[in-house]
This record gives sequence, C-alpha cells and structure tokens, in this order.
Amino acid sequence: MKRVLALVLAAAVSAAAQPAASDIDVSGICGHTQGRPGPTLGFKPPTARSADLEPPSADGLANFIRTTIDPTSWDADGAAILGIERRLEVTQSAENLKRVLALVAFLEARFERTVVVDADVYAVSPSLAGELSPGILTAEAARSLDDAAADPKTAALLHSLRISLRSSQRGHQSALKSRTMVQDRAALVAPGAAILDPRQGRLEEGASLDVRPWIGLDGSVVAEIQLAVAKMRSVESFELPAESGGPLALPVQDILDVRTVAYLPAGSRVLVALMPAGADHPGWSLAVVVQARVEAGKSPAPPDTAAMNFRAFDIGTLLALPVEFAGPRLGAAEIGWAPVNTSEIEMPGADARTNPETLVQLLHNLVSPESWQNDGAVADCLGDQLVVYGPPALLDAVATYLATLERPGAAGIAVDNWAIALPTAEWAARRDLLQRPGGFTDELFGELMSAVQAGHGRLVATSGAVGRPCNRNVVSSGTRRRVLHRWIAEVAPGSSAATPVIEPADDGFSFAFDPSPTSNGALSPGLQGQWARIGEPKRLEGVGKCGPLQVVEGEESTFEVMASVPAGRPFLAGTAVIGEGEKAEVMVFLVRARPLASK
Amino acid sequence: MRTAILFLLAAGAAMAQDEEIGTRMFDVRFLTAPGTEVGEEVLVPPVDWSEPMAVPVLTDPNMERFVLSPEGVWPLLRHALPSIGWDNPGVSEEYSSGVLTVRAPASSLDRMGAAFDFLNRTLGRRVTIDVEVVRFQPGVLESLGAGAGTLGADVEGKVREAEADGKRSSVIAVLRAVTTDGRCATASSTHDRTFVMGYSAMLAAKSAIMEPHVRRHRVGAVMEIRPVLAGDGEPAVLDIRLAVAQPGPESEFEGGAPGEGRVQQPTRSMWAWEAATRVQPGRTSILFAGSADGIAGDGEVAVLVRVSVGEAGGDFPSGPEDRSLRVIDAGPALARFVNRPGEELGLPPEEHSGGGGAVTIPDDEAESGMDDEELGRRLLEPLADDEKVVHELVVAGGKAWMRGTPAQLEVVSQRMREISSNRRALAVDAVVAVIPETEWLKRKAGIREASAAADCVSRAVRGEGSRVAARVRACGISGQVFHAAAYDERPFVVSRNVEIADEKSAGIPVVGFLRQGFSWTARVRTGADPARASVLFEGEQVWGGVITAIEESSPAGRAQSASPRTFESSSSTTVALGAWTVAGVDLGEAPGGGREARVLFFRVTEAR
Repeated sequence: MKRVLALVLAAAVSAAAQPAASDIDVSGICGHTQGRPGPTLGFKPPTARSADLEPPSADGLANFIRTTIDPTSWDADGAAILGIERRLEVTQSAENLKRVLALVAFLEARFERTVVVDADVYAVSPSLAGELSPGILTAEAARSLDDAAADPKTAALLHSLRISLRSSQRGHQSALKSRTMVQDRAALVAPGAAILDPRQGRLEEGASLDVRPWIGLDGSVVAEIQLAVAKMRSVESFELPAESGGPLALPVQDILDVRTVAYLPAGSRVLVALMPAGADHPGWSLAVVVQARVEAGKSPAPPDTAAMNFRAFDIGTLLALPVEFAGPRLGAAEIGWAPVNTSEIEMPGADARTNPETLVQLLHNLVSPESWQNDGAVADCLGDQLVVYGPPALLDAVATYLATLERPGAAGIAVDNWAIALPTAEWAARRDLLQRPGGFTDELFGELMSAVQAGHGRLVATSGAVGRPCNRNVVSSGTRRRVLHRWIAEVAPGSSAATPVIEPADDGFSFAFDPSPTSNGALSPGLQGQWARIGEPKRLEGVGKCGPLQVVEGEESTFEVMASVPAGRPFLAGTAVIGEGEKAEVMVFLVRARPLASK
Repeated sequence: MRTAILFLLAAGAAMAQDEEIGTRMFDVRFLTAPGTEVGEEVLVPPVDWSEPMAVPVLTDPNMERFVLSPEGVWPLLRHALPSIGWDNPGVSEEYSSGVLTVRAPASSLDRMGAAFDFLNRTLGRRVTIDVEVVRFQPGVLESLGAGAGTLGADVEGKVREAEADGKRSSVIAVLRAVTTDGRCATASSTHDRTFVMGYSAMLAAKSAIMEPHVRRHRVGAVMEIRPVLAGDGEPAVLDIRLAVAQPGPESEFEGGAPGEGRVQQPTRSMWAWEAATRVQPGRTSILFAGSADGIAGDGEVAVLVRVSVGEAGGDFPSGPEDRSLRVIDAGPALARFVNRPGEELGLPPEEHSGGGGAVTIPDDEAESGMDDEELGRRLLEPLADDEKVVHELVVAGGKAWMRGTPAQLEVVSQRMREISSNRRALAVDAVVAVIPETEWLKRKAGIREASAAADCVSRAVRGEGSRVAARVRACGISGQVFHAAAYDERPFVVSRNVEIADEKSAGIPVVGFLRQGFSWTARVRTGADPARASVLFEGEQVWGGVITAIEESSPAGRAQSASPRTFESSSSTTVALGAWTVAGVDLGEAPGGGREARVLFFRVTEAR
C-alpha cells in the first residue's frame, strides 16, 4: 500500500503531459490463495464443496483498466499496460497513470478486507434450550446465554474458535487433544512365520471449524461453515487372546457435526445449530453460535469523473454457491448397501451456479441496455468482485438488480425438529389428529408437548439449524463407536494369522435440508431425516486365530419431505415404530421450517 | 414440453409506453426441481436378503414428463397471461441458476407474480401418505367385512377399533411420506442385527484358517412411493414398493469343520407388495393383506393406507372475457408404470429343479401411457369444432393447461376424468385351501360353478372341514403387472465348497435361503364389459420344508438339507368380477396321513 501511495505522490508531481512508466505490485488483488479444508473431526472430514473462485489475473485487471481509464489513450504512442504474474507494467500520461493507481488502490482495499468469524459452542440445559431457537439471537438472548454460561447448572461454554481470513478464502482452526492407542493390527505372514503388527491410531477430541466466508451485497457475511465437536466418552479395552495379539482399544466418541451455509449479519450472533448433547451433558443440548464481522480500512476513492463512476459489488455468493453437503450414514455396522439417508440424496440444481460471463450478459440485457451501448459503461468480474464503470444512474440500477438476484429468503431458513416417542396406545388415541389432512397446526404441536409433560410420551431429541436457501445443509449429532466387526485371514505355507477389521458404527439423529422458498410464502424444505440407535456391541467368541468379534444390534428410521409446507407451522414429517412388544413406541418426527428475517 | 405450444395473442394489450420498466426475479427452482429419482438409481434399504446392490427406484421411463424444464416455464407463463405484450422489445427474460429474470412494465410484473403464486399452489400440491402395517388376529378382517380396497366409512371405523384393540391386533410399522405429484419419496423403520452366518477359508501349504462372515439381518418396514394425482376428488395412483419383515426364531448350526465355529441362523417372516394402484384421497384403504402356513405368528398382516391431498390451486383469471386457466392433473393418463413381477420362493436358485415361480409373466406388454399430443387431442374431442383452438390447451409437466370459459373448462375436466378412469383399481384375492381328499372328491365335479367355488372358499375360511393354508390379497390397476407375497425365510448350509492346498483342506459352508409361503403375480385387464376381466395369474405355494443336518461325516464339515413341497400354477383366462376361480389343484399326502387337495382359488374384485 505504501508503495502505491508513493507512486501516487510521485505521479502527482510529474509533468502531466509526459508519458510516465510504473511497475505496480497487484498481489493484494491477484495473490490470494483459496485455502484447504482442515483436519478430520466428526462423522466425516470437512470437504470443499463450494466453487473455488479464481483470483483476478493481472492480465484481466490490465484489460479492465484499458477499457475504463481513458480507453482511447491506450492507442497513443508510448501508452501501454501489461499484466505479468502479480504485477502491472503501465506506461501512460501522468494524469492517466494517477487514475490507474487510484483504481488499483481502490480495488486493493476491496480485496484486503478481512472477515473475522467467531464460533462458540455451548452446552445448555433443557430449560435454556427451550428458550432458544436457531436464527439471529436477540441482544437479550445472546447476553442471557453468556450469563448462563457462568452458572454450570444452566450452561457451559465448551469451545471458542476464531478465524480471520479474506472473503472467498477457506480457512480452518481447531483445538484438539490427541492420544494414540493400539486400535488395530495388521497380520504379516510368510512361509513358516506370522506376526501381528500393532498399529497405533491417533484419536482426536476437541473442536474444529472450517469456514469459507463471503461478504454479501449488504455488507453482511455469508459463510460456508463446517464445525465438528468430538468428545471421548470411553475407551474400552477389548480383550483378545495372545495369539490374536492382545487387547485392542475401542473408543466411543460423542460427535456434533454441523455443515451449513449461514447468513451472518454484521453485529449479530446467530444460533446456527441446536443439537442433542452427548454423555457429558445428558439431556442437554449443544448450541453453536457464530458471528462474523468485516474489518476494513478506509477505502480510497476510485478515479471517478463527473459523468462516470466506478463501483464494486460483492458477488461471491452468486458465483460460488450453492453447496451441497453430505451427511453421515447412521446405523448399524456398514455392510454393503446403505438406505436412503443424508449421505445419499443429491440436491437438484446443485450445479446451477451463476458464472461471471452469464452475470455480465444479464446486466447488459436487463439493466439499462442502452447505457452499455451508448455511454461506454463497462462491467467485469474480478474474482468475487463485480466492478462496474458507468453513469451513477446505471450503477444504482445495477445495485438494485443485484439485490434482486439474492433469492427470496436469503437471510436463511431455520428448521426445527422434535422426535417424540409415544406408546402405541397413546399414538392410536391421537392418530386422527396426527394424520389430519393439511395437519400443519400448532394444535398438533401443543397436543404432543402436553402428552410429553403428562408422561404419555417422551421427547427423544430436539434439534434445529439454519441454512441458506438452495444449499444443502446437514446437521448431525450422535455417537461413533468402533466395533471389531470381523477378521481377515492371511495364510502362507506353514503359517497363518488374522487381522481384525475395526469399523465405525454411528447412531444419533441427522437431518439434511435444502430450503427453497416459493413465491407464495410456503417453504420447500427438501428434508431428509434419519434416526438411529445402536445398542452396546456384544462379544462373540471366535475360533482359532480369528479371535472374538462384536455383533451389534440397532434400530433406524428414515423419512423424506419432498413437498412445500406452510412457513412456521409444525407438521408431521415422519413416523416409525421403535422397540418391540409391550415396549413398542411410535416415534413421530415433527418439523417446522421458518424463514429468518434479515437484520 | 415438446408440445408446449406458444400461445401468442396478437391482440394483446400494447405495453404502455410511459409505464416504468422494472426487473423482477422469479425463483422457479421449486417448479422445476426433479426430485431425487429422475435418471438416477439411488440406494434403498431392501428388506430382503441381498448382496450389496443398487435397487432402481420407481422408474418411469417418461418421468421427465412430470417435471417442467426451466425452459418450459416461460411458454407456460405466456400461455397463462396472453394479454401481456410479450413481443414488445421492452419485455425480455433470462434464465440462470434456477431463477427467471424478467424485464417488463411494472404492472405486467405484478401479474406475473400472481401467475407464479398460482403455479406454486397448483404444482406444489402436497400429498401425504400414511401407511400402517398391522397384524390382525385370524378372522378379524373377515368378521369386519374388510376386503382389499377402499373401506366404507362404517367398516373403516370398525377396522380402526380393532387396530386400537391390542387383543385383536398389533401395530408393526407406521410410516409417513410427504411429497408432491409425481415425486418419489421413501420412508423406513428397521431393526438390524449382525450375525455370523457363514465362514470362508484361507488355505496355504500346511496352513488353514476359517474366517467368519458377518452379515446384517434386517427386519422392519421399508416403503418407496410415488403418487400420481388424477384431479380433484378423483382417486390418486400410487406407485408403491413395500416390504415388511418380522423376526422369527434363531438357531445355531455346528458344521463340525476344523477351525469353524457355529453358524448363526436367524429367520424372518416377510410380506412384500409392489404395484401401481388407485386410492381415494381422504379415505382408508387396505391395499394388501397376507398370511401363509409356516410364517411365525398368527393372523394376517394388512397394509392400511390413507392419502391426503392438499387443496387444488383453483382457476386463474387469464385472458379476455371470462376466460381462466385451469391446470388439470393428467398423470394417470400419461404415466407408464413399471411392471413388477414377484420373486421365486422355495430353495435357492441353484438347487431348484423345476418351475419358473411367479416371475414368468412377460414384461414386454407394459401398459403405456398416452403421449402429450394424443392426450391433448382426446381432451378437446367433446368441444365444438369452433372451440377447438388447439393452442388454448398445452400438455406439459404431467398436466393439461387449459384456458377457456368456465363451461369449456368443465367439459375438458370431465373428459380427463373419463380418460383417467380407464385405469380401474382392482383387487386380486388368492386363497390356497386345504381340503381332505374325501371332501374334495365330493366337491370336485361342481367346482367349476362359481357358487360352488365360493362355497368351498367360504368353508375353508370358516374352518369347516377344510382350512386356508395361505391367503394373499392386494390391489393394482388394470393392465399392470403386480405381485404380492407372504413367506418365511430361513438360512441354511446348502452345501460345502471344498478347497485343498498341499496338506490342508477346508469345506466352506454355502449359505442359502429357504423361502416358504405364498406368492403370486397377476395382470388384470378390464375391457368393454365392466363386469369381466382378462387375467394372467401365476401363484406359487411352498410349504412343509424342514431343515435338518446331514449326518454324513466328512472332514469338510456337515451341511443341512431341506425338502419343501412346491405347488405352482398359472392361468390365462377371463373371469367375472367377484367370482372365485380355481387356478390349480395339487392332490398329495397329508401331514397326518391320508391325502388332501390343495386348491388355489383367486378372484378379481373392484377395489373402489
């Protein structure tokens, strides 16, 4: 920046008519890297789902300058501009060079803005969880959450993470505690010899945040968030006979996994997800609160003229979204096929991103078409910036148009879930209410909650999350067990050994939603939910060198909502029978989708 | 969308020159989202024993006809709003990323907004399907007069009472799917356990090791469903696959092979039904009920279905005078449903010595739906010649988009109802009755008479001198192949594959499944005579198989044997609706001595 300012000063004192040359470092505009996903924690590793936006090339920047700063002058003798790697070589009159430097400084300030993302994970008591709803927290709610965290009976702040990065960059931060343990063995056999090679595995617990933010048109931040929290519940020592290599460590972890695209207005704290907590806080919930702010220095003025101005617009969300996250596949040990679940469904239109050329073409066709033809107006996409040069009225029209490109409900949609188990007789007594056509009523919700309070049912899980329309968001919480599922035998002449196969068995609750508002106020949540419960694995004695293994037993259910539903009204999204015989219950999954208001 | 003829009303009002031009976005993603199944194979949780496999969903080769393409929305908007000056240079549209951006005078944009509201209401009608799987005690459904099909209000009340009475029934599964016209949805509720169900061997010179095979055993219920609406108050068509499994006894088998442990052998009872059928929205239907000898637990497992359909979008004022746009559900006329033959029961295929099972009805005669042009032509037939302005009607996205006067709309709607009703809902009720030989000999001669056949079935149902060995009834639509089955599934060690290496050998147990019960596949066509139906019917009953260990001593270990009896029969005939028909007879030894006749009856009834 200092160098640019120095050049500006130098240019100002030179004779205006004399061609001047300058070598401008534009790495502040062209040099930002995209970043990579962080470490694995949670049900799945973080993934880079949104489209990477290439930073502007120096050549592209040179071309934009050539078409906007006194375009006809570049044909004059001696005037030239060349973009090489992250530099511009410019030869122009002193006056025009001054304008070039001013434009570069203006753009540099746009690209050097920093987004600071803070994520806090709280454990909250049931009573406090009942007062919280995913979405923008009121100042009072945010304050009461922090106040409650001072009292361990009501809440606890478990993790606090911060990332600073530029718009469109991906970054991660994690706070992990690692331990190694013998989690596996590999059999090595050769004629007359066999040996079991113990393998140390690393197991991590803590929190990991993977973020990719974009600055929105209104100055707010939209962020692709992948947050995982893992807590070790226990490490079982699974005894194996000496010929199978001795004991193995089989850890059990409680996991929260949030993958969503959230709207984070400046100055607000957003409750991104509220999910059941693990064994450390039985019956409690985990609340993930995220806030973001944009840090920017004073923006230098662009080289406007009376008739023609420059303006830059943040369009990262238009170009990089939507994203489609995949959830875990919950249920008993993975063998062969998997049912329809949050890891399988493909989001319709996942590849329907706007490309920069299309966006510029839309502007030319739809926004004051005559101005582009007659006034010499120019629009170009430089990375996640749309830079427009034109009359002030045209710039206002472009701003208005871009605002309409933000889909309805851009502030996000919250989805709340309640899983309630009713004894079959209690369910049968309420069946007509539950199955009533168009049964989107608060009466339904009230009746079920009353049943819970009266002891006629039990609230199995409460959960909720926010997501931006037209992206596939997934939130999951549950338990990951590692199970000695089977053995793989290895033989060689005169020797044999067997390798234990350790596989994860995940249970809990997971839901994926792909909210899409319709023009008449309804919401299409595009919802898939899955619930799974896995019992304690049972030991089954082995034979010979294939030692003991574990058999697992579990229940699971899945449901889908592929229709639009009224906003803000709870509805029955799915049902399942769980348990057997006299202990059988009907689990009802209530869902409510509601639009969030922009701040 | 090929037939989405652009309707351009040249006399449309000219754009007011002094009106401000605006730009507005219309998110059409919801209108055009294909759902999860188009062109895809997704993995569904089949309840049947399977190797890792991808099961195709309810594939309709013409499924894309039920989904508007993004490019198809604009012509429909022009169709809905003919009075906008679409060809005026100031009006333009662009489509990108699921969003239609329109530049037009502000008043026109307002009217487009209203049209999109209408489209959202109309195309987004919600369909909720509640499915309950209930095991009723023997005779309960019969005593209530509840057969396959839509239940009358009085019978429905009694069935619901019986369902709530734990002494007369128990609820096995409750599933719900929420979707829209033409879109597939799935739901499942299952219980899994892993078992060591076999072993494999690894051999090398002087070395052998047996490796346990762990497999998942799944019970519960899995449903995959696609509703196709047929207009207000008219029965909807459900394309459905449903499988239900309940756990049976578990046992262990010790094969005695060196290094091999016990083989776990869990069993389960299965009920499966795959069909396209019609149901009356808002009413409860029994779409399947089945029982068979050998299935663990008493009684008949029935599938109760209730479909709720959201309110229709109504008519949209469109064009001059009193013309309106009405969107009429055309799915049943356009859809081509996939034929669904049943699976073979009995021994594992490699051991099966004969018979084709209930799978031989050819698939090449699948009932095709009409194409868009043909439907458009037939819908306009009742109108007077001067009213048949072809471009007033567009068939697109599984709907007929008709613009006209109230009288014209009613005529076309009525015509659609007539066309859709050609696919009648029918129920096939198949019974295997076991009749002592002496009784059979007395009845045999007169059994060709419908009344005698009905009496025979009735006596068996009441247990008067004979009994019902299996009964499976299910619904489908005219012209479609569908199947239903109730059976028991038991794993056993069918044989051993011996492997040797130098001084070592091993016998690897080959595990197969014995499926015993009753399965049928049928295709019923009704023609000009509404009281008669042409029927292709194939039924198979497998029973009496006991699994025993083969005592022969072998270093490779022992296997197990099974000796089920199989009775297969196929018929191609024309029957009167409601009349019992004898499809086949098997005269054989009775378990307690003597002989008995096993008679397979079926009848076709209207499933209103």
